[in-house]
Amino acid sequence: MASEPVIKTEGLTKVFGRYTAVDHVNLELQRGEIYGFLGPNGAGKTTTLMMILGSLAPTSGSIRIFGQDLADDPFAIKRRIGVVIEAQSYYDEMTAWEYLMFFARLYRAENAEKRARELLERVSLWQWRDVVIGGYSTGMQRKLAIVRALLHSPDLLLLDEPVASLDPYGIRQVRELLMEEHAAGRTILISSHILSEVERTTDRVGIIVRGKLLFEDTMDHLRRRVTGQRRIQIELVEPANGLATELRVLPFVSNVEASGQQLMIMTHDDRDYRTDVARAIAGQGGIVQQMRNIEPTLEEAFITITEAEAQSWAGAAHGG
Amino acid sequence: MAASLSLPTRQWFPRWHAINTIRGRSSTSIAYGLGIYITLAVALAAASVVLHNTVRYVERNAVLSTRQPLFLPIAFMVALVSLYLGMSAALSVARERDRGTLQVLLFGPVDETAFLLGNFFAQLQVYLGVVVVAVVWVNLVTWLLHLAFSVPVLLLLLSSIITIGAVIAFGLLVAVWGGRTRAALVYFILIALLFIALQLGQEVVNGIAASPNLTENDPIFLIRNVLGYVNLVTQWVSPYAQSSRTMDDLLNQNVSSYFFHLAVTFLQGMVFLTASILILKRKGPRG
Repeated sequence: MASEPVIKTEGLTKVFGRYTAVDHVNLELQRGEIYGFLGPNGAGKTTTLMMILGSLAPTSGSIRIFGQDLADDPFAIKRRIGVVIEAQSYYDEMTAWEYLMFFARLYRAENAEKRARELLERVSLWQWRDVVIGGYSTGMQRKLAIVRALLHSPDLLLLDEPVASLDPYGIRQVRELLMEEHAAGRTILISSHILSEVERTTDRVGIIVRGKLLFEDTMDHLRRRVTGQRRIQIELVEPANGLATELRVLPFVSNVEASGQQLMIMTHDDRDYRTDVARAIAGQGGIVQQMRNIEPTLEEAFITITEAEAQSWAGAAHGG
Repeated sequence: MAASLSLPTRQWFPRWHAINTIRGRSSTSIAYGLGIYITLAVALAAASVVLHNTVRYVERNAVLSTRQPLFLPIAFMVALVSLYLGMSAALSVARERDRGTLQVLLFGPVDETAFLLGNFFAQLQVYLGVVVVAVVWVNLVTWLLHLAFSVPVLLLLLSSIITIGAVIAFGLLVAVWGGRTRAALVYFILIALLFIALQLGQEVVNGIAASPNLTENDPIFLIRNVLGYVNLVTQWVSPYAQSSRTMDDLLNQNVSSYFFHLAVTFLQGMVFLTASILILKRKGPRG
């Protein structure tokens, strides 16, 4: 029997006056996965997170966390969640250590001092533990928020822009921490604009635009869905004179772009055609120096999906 | 067994843990600040001056102006400390909401009830410390001035805990209702001072109106009547009005009335707290 989803929303809707911020969102996070929750500014990501956390009441729809309604046992459910929000706030007058110990007591974290030390060392904040948070840089504060969210070893992590304002070194530290938590079986939802980071860490993504969840699937399916074809980049030993025309007639090729010694071949999506392409080139007397599949980036996929939605919305608005 | 407990009962154990953790943090924060020590020092100094004046008046005029010379100084001290603690309660809640830390707390195993009760008990805990200092001060001055440390003095100090509780609860109510930190602070000070002014005003006017030199048409009687009507209404919402009546009951040894006014003060505190929780739930952590 499949295990219960960690988060399951059905028809989740939030209306503010005449504005629908979240529109019938059905979200499902399975145990142990990293889920990227993406969307342009004002798409409804934070509103969705706020509803999941019980901070905003939905206009309609249901939310189940660990198979329960949050209202069934809010204290027990919230103890199993670690949260970092985008507009994170701190007790500026507290030292990092006091801050973490306060939250450790609140969450009844086990071995809190040992865990806090380990986490602080991992993000290079251990030597700053006795400095008041008001003296921290924005990046240090963000790392502290992540440490706080991980301190009680939660089963579910909800992270809104976890690497915002971090330097590349800090981003790597946080990424490594999150991957370790993932390996330990924790479920993680990341909402972020830093798509390269989401691409590196997530198993599945959901794209929300204007309150509607337009897409929810694995990264691989997202790429396929966007292009509907595979791209093979080839570098030849000599310029591809006339080779492009020959390749275009192959039944599995949809398009070929040639530039000097470079060829970009778009093939059907049903399988990997690299061997067939190599044979065809060799048949025409060409010599392949390098050949690789080019996957569309998450950024390309994201922009394609969100732009299509924006165009359809504009079209509908224009059409009345 | 947890499974056999009803939902509200099951929630009170983790809620109590949250209350206790927030209480610990807030009371430590107050104890590490200078404000409470300055307030206590000023309150004790003011109480000492009032007591000194009372004793000198008795000595000079050979008239026993009051049966309990310690009552007025203690009332003075309680009023000053209550103002500080009520203000501190209002500030701590309004600041948490303003800077967004309340939202972070509420994402965790804390609800609005636990947050407000934690802050309430923190201030009350600090006041218990003030009561201990006040008992030491009372012992010291009674020993120095050869006054009696009577049971009513002790009862007055103990009943002041309920008064202070109501004022703190009022501070919390103003904080959740008043919006931003500065607004909450201004509202609290204005309303608390109004309550105190009405209370003191009526006593002063009553004193003037008792003068035998006044005619029936003197405007002071009109002022006395107006203040009397206003106080008739505010006594149900002002912890200071109830505190004044409790003090009168102790002076007159009216036990049933004493407990009645104490119960009213307790009820005021409960109403303020309940209203604070409901308003915070309705307005949310960002106000």
